[in-house]
Amino acid sequence: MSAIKPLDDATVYMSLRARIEGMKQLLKSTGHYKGVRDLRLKKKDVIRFELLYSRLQSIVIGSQQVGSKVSCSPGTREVGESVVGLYTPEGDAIVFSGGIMVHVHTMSRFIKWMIAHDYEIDPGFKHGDIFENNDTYIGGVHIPDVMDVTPIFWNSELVGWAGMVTHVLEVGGITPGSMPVLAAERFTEGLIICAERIGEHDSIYKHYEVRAERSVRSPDLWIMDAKARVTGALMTRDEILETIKEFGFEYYNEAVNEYIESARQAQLERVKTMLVPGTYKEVTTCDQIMEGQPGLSPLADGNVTIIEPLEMMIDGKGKMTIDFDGFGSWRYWSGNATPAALEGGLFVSMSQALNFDGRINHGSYLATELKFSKGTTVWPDNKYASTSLGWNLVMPSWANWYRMMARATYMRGFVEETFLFGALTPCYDGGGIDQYGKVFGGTNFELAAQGSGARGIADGIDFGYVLWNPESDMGNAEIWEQLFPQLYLSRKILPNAHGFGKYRGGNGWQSLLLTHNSNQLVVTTELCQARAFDHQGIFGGYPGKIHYIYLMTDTDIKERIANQQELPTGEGEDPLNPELTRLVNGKLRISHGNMTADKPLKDGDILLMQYRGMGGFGDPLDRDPTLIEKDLENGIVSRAMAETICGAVIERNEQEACWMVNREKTVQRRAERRQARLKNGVPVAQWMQQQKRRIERYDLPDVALEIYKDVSSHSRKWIREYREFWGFDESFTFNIPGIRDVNPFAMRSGESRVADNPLEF
Amino acid sequence: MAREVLALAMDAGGTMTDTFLVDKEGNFVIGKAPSTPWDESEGFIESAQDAFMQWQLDERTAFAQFEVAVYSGTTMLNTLLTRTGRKIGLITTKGFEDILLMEQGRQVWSGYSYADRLHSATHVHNQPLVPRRRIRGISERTNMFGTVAIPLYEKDARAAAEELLTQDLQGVAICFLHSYANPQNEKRMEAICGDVMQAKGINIPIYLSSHIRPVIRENQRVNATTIEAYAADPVRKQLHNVENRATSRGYRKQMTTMLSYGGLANIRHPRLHETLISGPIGGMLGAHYVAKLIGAPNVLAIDMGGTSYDFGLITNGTFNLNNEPEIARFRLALPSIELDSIRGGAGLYLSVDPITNRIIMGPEGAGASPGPVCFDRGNKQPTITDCLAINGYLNKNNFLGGKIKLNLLAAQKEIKTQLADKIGLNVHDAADGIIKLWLQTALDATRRAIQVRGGDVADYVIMGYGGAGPMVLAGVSEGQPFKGVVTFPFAAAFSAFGCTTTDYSHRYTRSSLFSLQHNSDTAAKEVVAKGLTELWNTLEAEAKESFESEGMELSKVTYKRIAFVRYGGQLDEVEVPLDRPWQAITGDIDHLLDLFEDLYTKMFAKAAKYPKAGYAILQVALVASIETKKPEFPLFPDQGPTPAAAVKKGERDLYINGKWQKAGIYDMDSLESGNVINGLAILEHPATTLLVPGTRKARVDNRKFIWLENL
Repeated sequence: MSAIKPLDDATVYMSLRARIEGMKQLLKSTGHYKGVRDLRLKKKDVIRFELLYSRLQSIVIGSQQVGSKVSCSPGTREVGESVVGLYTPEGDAIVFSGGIMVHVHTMSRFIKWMIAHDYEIDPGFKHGDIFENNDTYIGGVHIPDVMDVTPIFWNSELVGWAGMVTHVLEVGGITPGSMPVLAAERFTEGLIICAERIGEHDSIYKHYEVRAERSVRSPDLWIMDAKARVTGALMTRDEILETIKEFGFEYYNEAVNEYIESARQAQLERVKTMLVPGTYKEVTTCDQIMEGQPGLSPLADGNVTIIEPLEMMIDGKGKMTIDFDGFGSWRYWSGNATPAALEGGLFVSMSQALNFDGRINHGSYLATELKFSKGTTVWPDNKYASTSLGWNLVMPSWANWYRMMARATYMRGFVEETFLFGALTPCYDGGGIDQYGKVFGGTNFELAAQGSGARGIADGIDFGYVLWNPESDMGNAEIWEQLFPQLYLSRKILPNAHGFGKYRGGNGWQSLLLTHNSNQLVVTTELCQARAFDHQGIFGGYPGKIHYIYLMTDTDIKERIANQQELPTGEGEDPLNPELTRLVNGKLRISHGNMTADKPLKDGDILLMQYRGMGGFGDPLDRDPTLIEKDLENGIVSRAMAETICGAVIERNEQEACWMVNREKTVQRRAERRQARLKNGVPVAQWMQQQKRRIERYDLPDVALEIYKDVSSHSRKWIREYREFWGFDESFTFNIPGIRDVNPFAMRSGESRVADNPLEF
Repeated sequence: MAREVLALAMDAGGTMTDTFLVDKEGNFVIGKAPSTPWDESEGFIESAQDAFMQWQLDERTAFAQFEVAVYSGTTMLNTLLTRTGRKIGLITTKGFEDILLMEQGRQVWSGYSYADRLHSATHVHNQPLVPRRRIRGISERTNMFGTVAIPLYEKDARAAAEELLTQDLQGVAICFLHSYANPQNEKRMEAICGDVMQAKGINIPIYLSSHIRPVIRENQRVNATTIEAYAADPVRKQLHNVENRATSRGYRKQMTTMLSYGGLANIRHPRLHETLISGPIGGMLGAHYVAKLIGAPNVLAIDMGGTSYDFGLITNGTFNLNNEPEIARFRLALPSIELDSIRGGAGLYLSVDPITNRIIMGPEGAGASPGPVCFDRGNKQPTITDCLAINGYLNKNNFLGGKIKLNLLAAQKEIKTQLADKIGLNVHDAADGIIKLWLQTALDATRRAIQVRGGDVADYVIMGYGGAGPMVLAGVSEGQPFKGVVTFPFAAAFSAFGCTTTDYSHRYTRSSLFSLQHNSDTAAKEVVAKGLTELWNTLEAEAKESFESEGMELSKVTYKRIAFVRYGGQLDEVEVPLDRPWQAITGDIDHLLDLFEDLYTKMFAKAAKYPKAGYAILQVALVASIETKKPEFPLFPDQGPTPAAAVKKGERDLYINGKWQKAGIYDMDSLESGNVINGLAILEHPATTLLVPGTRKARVDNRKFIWLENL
C-alpha cells in the first residue's frame, strides 16, 4: 500500500491537515469537540458505549505490559517508565494505559506536527509504518522520552494511531546517561530523532539499528526500548482493528469522538463540583548552579535562578485556564521546556488530582486552556535551546498547580483530596567503563519513588511517590548494580527529609554508592534544586529538606574495609557532623543542585545521593504526639528536630527501649512557642512598608533584580500586577542600568497565549 | 462390592472447606463444611465426614484406604493479613535495615484497581512484618558476580546476634545482598547465630534467603524469607493438627499440601511460604489434568469468585509461571502458576459516577458478609449478584442449595434508585446492561491474557469452574472462536479436585551467570553447557536429598530441566523447558536457543527479536516429580440426547438481551451422558448454575463433562 490517497468512492478527499482546521472551527462555533453536541451513542445505548471503552482501555493496558517485557531497561521494566496511547486520525488522545502519562499529550503533539508538516503527502502514511520522535519541540519533555507511533488503517482509511513511549536510559549526549546537565544547546543532548519514519511493514530499518549502535553508549538499551515501543504500538493497532471488526467501523468512529467530547464535559463538571471558582496564584523558584563546572559550553549560563509563577483561573462553567505568564527568557541551559511538556503535565496531574477514573483524554485538554509567552524558558523561540532537563521546569510548575488544587479542594470541603503531591525528583546519570569492561551510560531510575507532599488528612507517602508517575517504584538495588559499576553501601531512610507539619510530607531516603569494578565512572546529577524551594508546605507546613549530594574521592574506605572498621551508611542524623565524613577520609565535594563530577570516579570513590521528602500540611505544633513517636521509632525524625520544630518534649523509656513524647510537658512547650511567635511577629502592613522601601531603593540581591528585569520585559501583566501589589505608579521599572539582561536575543511577546499551532515548532 | 476410596483433597477457603473424595473407580463426591480458621482440623474432619456420609462410608475404613490426602488451607494468608505471625528478627546487609519500612515503592499501590493506582492520595505502605527495632544490619557485601567485596564483619555480626537473639524471638531471617550468587556471608551469619544460641541455650529457627529463595531482587527475596519466618509456623501447626486428626482415624501416610507452582509436598517441606498461593492453583491443576483427558493442549481456565475473577492459561500442555507474584500486597520471588486476577467478581458493588453518569463496578465488593442486597443482611448497595438475581439468573429459593433465600424486591428497589434511574433505563434493562458490561470486562481480560502471551483464542478450550464460573462461561466466551467451552458438575469443588490430580513434585531454582555473544563459537557454548550441567546436577542432588528425607522412592523421580533465557541486557526472561534429554553438548545449547527464539517470537512482535544482543541465562530450575495415583473418570454409556423427564425441574422467566424469556430449569446432577439441552436453559446444581443462552446448547459427554456449543 502506498501513501494515503483519495478514497475510491469519495469525490473529495479532505486532508488530515484540513480536517484539523475544520475541527478547530467547529469547536469554536459549537463549543463541542468535532461539533458533537449530543452524545448520541451514549444516549442510545449506554452499555454498548461503555463496552467499547472498556475494550479500548484493556487493549492499551495489555500492550503496555507486553511492550515493557521486551525492554532491557530497568527504567521500563523495573520502574514502569512507559505509556501506551490510542489516538484519532488527527492525533487526539482517546485512551491510555498507566505509566508516564505526560506523554499521552506529547505523542499527540508529535502526530499533529507530522500532519501539519504534510507528512501525509511525503513520506505518506501506510499500514505497517513506524514513526519515531524525541524532538521536544515537535512533542516531548526531553530527548530520552522516545515515542513510536503507527497508523491504523481500516481498509484504506486512516482511523487512528497507536503509540508507545519509553524513557531511554542512555541517549548519547555530552555526558553519559539520559539527561546531560551540561547541554546548553540541543546539539549536545544526544541522538535526536525528528519525526522520522524508522520502519515499514512492521519492521524497524536496519540502518536505524546501525545508527543507534554507533551513536549511543549502551545501544542495547536504546534498541531494545525501540523494540518494546514498536511491540506495544503494533499490538495496540492489531487489537483495535479486531475491535473495529466487532463493533463496526461507523460505530467506532463515532464513539471515539463521543469519548473525547464526554471527557470534555466531565472535566468541566468535575471542576465545578470539586473546586471553588476564582483566580489562584502560586510562585516557586528553580535554579541551576553550574558555574565553574567542567565541560560547560561557552554559551551557557552557569548559574541560573528563575521564578516560576502560575495562575489558575476557574470560571463558573468549570473551565480552567492555566497561565504560565511571568516566566523569564529562555537561556543556554538544560532547563528550558516546551509548551508540549507543560501541557503534558496536565494529563499526569489531572488524572491524579481530579479525574480519578482515569478517563482523561484530549477532551479534558480542550476543557482547559494553557497559555505561554513565546521567547520565555517555557517556549523558547530558538529551537536549538536545550530541554535536556525540561522536567526541571515542568515539575516545580505542576507542584505550584497542586498547591493551588490543595487550596481549592480544601475550600470546597474535599479535605481527603487535599494533597500536595510532589515536586522535583533528583537523580544521577553515570557512564564510562562498566563492571563488564564495556562502554556504557545510564540513568539510575531509583529516583522514581521519593516522598510525596502531605495530605489533608494524613502524612504524605514515604519513599513511594513521584509526581510524574503515580505508579511509582524505585526497583531493586541488585538490579541497578547490574547496570552501574557501584556497590550500594546503603539504601535507607534520610532522617528529617520531610517537610514538618500537622501532617508531615512523605519522607525521603538516601543511597550510598561505592564505585566498584571500574576506574572510569562519569557522574552527573540532575533535577536537583540548589538554593530554591519548590517543595513547599501549605497552611503552615514546612518545605522539605534542602537537597545536596556528597561526592568523596580518594577515600580510605578500602583500608577501613580491610581493618573491619565501621563503614558509613549515609549522612546520619546530624548534617553538621555527617556520618560519612566522620568515618571516611577523602576529598569531599558537597554539591547543591545539578552537578558534573570533576573527574571520573574510580574504585573506592563514594557518591551519596539524597532523594527528597516534600512539604507538610498545617502547623507542626499541632502534630499528634503518637505520630511523632512512630517517626522516632522508624528513624524518620530525629529527637532534636522533633523537639525543635514540633515542640515535643521527648523522653527515653528505658524499659521499652524507645522514645516517648511527654504529653503534658509538650502542651506547655507548644503554648510557649506560640507566645514566642506572637512576640516575634510584625504586622503585615508594617512589613510591607519596610519591603516596599527596599524595592524602591532596588535593595535586592542582583539575582532577584536580574529575574525581575527579565520577567518584566516579557510580561506586561506581571509588571502591572507587581506595581499594583506594592502600590507603585507606572514609572516604576526594573530596567536598571548595570543589571544584566539575561538573554537579549529572546523574543519578547509581552503576553501569553495558547501554543497549539504545530507550525510554530 | 464395597466401595474403596483412593484420594481425599480438601480446599479450605475463607468461608467453606470443600472436600473432593474419589474412589478407585473414579467416582467422586463433594463434601462441604464451614471453615474453622481457629483450628482447621475441625473443618477438615467435618467436611470429610460430609463426603463420607454421602457414600455411607465408615470413617476409619476410608482414612485407612487413602493413597493420598491433600490439604490446602488459608492459614498462612490469614496470618499475613491479620499480622498475627511470629515474633521474628531480621539481619540484613548494613545500610539496608529500612528495607521493610521502605519496601519497594510499588507496594504502596499493589493490589489497587486501575483507577486507584492513578488516584495517588489513596496510596499507603504495608505494615512491616518486622518492626525496625528488631532489624540489624551487618557490614558485608557480595557483588553481582558473587564475589565477596566486603567480608562479613564478624564482631558486628556476633554483637547483632546477641542483641537480637535475647529478645525472646521465635525466629530470625537473614537476607544479604546478592546472597543468591554466593551464600557464604549468610551461612557464616547463620553459624554465628548458632554459636550465640548454643551459648545462651536458645533454639529458634534461622531462615537464610539464599536457602529460601536464591534469586535476584532483594525486595522480593526478603519478602519471601520474612514471610517464611513469620507465617510458616502457624500454618505448619495447623497442618500437623490436620495430619494428627487423620492419623488418629486410621490414615497411614503423611499429609501433603499444595505448592504454588503446582506440586505436592509433605507438610514438613522447608519452604512453606510456597503454599501461600495454593487455593486457586488447585483449579489450574484440575484444568491441566482434564486438558490431557480431553486432548486439549491449550486451555483457558476461568474461576469467577465473589470479589475477583481469576484466569490462567495452559499452553502446549504446560503452565505459565509467574516468578514475581503479588499476594497480600507483598511482591514475592516465588514461582507460581500464573493466574491473572481482576476485580471482577460477582459481589462487586455498583454505583453511578455523579459527574459522568458512568456505571462504576467495585473496586470493593460485598463479600460473603454482608453479601449482596438480596441476601437481606443489611447491605443496601447493589452488586452484580443482585442484577443476576432480579433478572432471573439465580433461583431465589435454591441459592446455595436453599441455604439463602433471595429477597428480589429489596435488590430491585436498590438497583432502581441507585442505578437504573440515574442512567435512564428501566430496572431490568439496567441490570441486563450491567451484566453485559461485567461479562465484557471479564472477556477482555481473558482475551488479553491469551494475546499478551502470543496465543490465539481459536487454539484454546475455555473451562469454567468455581461457584460462579459456569454462570459466566457463556458470556465470557460469547462471540469468541474458542475451540471448546466446557464445565463440570463438580465445578464448585474444582480446586479441591485439582489437588488430587498433581504429582508429588518440588521445584528448585538457582541464579546463574551465563552469557553468549551473538554467533558464539563452539568453545563458548561448551563453557555454558558445562556450567548448566553442573548447576542442574547440584539441583538434582538437592532434590534427591529432599525426596529421600521425605521417604520417597528415588528410582521413581523424574526431572525436568528449565533455563530462563533472555537477550543480553534484558530484564525479563522466557522460561524455556527442555524438551529432550540433556547431553551437555553444544548442540544442546543451540537447541535451547532455538526453543527460546521460538517462544520469544510467539510472545512478542517480530520486530522485538534482537539476537545481535546475544543471550543470557541468569536462572535455571529443575522440577523433580514422582507420579501419584490420580482419579479416573469412568466412561458412561450414551443415553441419547433427550434427558429423562425428571431432569427438568420447570421453567423460569429470565430477562436477557432486553426481554423476558422462558428458560428451562434442569437438575445438573441428573444429566446423563449424551443428553443435550438447548438454550435458553439453566442447569442448576446446589453449589453452581450453568447458563445456556438461546443461541447455544449444553451437551453432556461420556465423562459427564458439559460442553456449551452453538445451536
